[in-house]
Amino acid sequence: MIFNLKAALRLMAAILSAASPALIAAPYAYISNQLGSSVSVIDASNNQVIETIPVFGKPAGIAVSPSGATVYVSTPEAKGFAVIDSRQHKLIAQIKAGDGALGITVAPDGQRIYVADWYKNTVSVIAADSFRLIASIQVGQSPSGMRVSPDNRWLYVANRLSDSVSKIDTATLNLVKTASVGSHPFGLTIDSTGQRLYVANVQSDDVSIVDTANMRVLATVKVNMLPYATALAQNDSRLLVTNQDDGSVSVVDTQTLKEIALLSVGEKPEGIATHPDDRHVYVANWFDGTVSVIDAKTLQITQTIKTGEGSRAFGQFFGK
Amino acid sequence: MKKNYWFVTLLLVVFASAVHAHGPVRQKAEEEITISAPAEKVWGIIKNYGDLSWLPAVQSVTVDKGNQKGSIRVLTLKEGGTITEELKKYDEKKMSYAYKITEMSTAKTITHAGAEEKVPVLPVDNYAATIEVEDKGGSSLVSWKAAYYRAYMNNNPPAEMNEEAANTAVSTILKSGLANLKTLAEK
Repeated sequence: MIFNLKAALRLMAAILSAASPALIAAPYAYISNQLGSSVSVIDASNNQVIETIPVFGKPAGIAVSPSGATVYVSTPEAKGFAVIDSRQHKLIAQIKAGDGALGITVAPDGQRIYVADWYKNTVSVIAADSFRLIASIQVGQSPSGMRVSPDNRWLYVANRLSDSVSKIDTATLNLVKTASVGSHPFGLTIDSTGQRLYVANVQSDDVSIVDTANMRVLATVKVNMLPYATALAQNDSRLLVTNQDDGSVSVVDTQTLKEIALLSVGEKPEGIATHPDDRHVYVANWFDGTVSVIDAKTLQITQTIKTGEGSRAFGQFFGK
Repeated sequence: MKKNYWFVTLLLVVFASAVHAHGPVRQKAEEEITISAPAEKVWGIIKNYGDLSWLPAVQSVTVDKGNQKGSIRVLTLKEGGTITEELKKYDEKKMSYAYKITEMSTAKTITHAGAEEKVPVLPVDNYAATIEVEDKGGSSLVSWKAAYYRAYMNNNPPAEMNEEAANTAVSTILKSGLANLKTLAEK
């Protein structure tokens, strides 16, 4: 059995590394439908769902490899994550990685996958080529959202029940520093310079802006009910925050740190990510099973796309 | 073909060793009913946040700030126990309001995985709901939507606190409430 698994993993790694980004035509958005046990693939050039991939284990978190060739989907009930080949839009593997796999992210060089364990308070570091567990790092309680800095030096983890964000050195895999943020941080995003983190605090209804150099909170911006996750657009000038219990997205000017718009989307908006055009922002509406497309420039909802039951898409769900 | 064979092998190997367990998965319940009565009449029955005389499971309600955002109501259930809820959104124009459970009394205490667990009167956690009346030109469509987690927040829940228990309890309340609302409005 073990031999078979290893052989299969080796073969798969070979196939994965052979994936060429050139073969991927349009940017795709991968939306996990947690109650529908599937992932909807949206072709963002025309906003059509071109494929619905069945994924076992209540798919929740999403991370797309930098090349766009592979999509990793956390599956809490299957205690791990699923691997989707984005050329074929097919599920190619299901990997075990912790009892409460939820938050998931991939390193900017594509070589590592980080999976947070909601129950065990750890982050599993997994090699993307072999799916081998490199290390397991102890973090705060109920780790959820994660991001790696653009230079691949640091991993940031929001610890929901510890009201903190951990900064981890990706070279030594040691915890470097912990920032105290608002109440129950969940989703977070990092700007393109790697200097600022924007952390959504679901219980204090605000966003903590953290200076990554010293891990101190620079500012706190009030948003609406139950902010869940964040995304940046328009050259990092606009921050968009899903307000789960308000059915809205707050748009914050990152210079003035003021809310400049509150846009109505579907019910229970959760996952949010920015199209590679840096202008359109996609929001998964959990209750409605839809995705709202926001034009971050004009601050209008341009489209609503039907996806599946319980669209969650927690993470960076856009492929290039 | 060879590729497919290996993928299938890998999937089988991994699935065979996977043990079913529940993770942090939010649940939803959604009920709708068409009522042969004008929307204003239907909304009139439910519009007071502190009045749940239309909801069969509830014995009595106390409320502190009426229909103001942040208003707290305490429901005393016919079968005993209380549920405390906070008004999160109130929209007279849209004939809709949203609320959240903030506290519940314990229905019973069970032992699970060597620990004492308190089962709340409604076996859910983090429950938020919205009720809305839509004018359908003479008749009305009432929708009641709820989102929540199971009561047990750790891995491997007991039967009293799993997703099925949560879903059954919530859908029973929603269905019986809407059915009774229809009866009252069509009188």
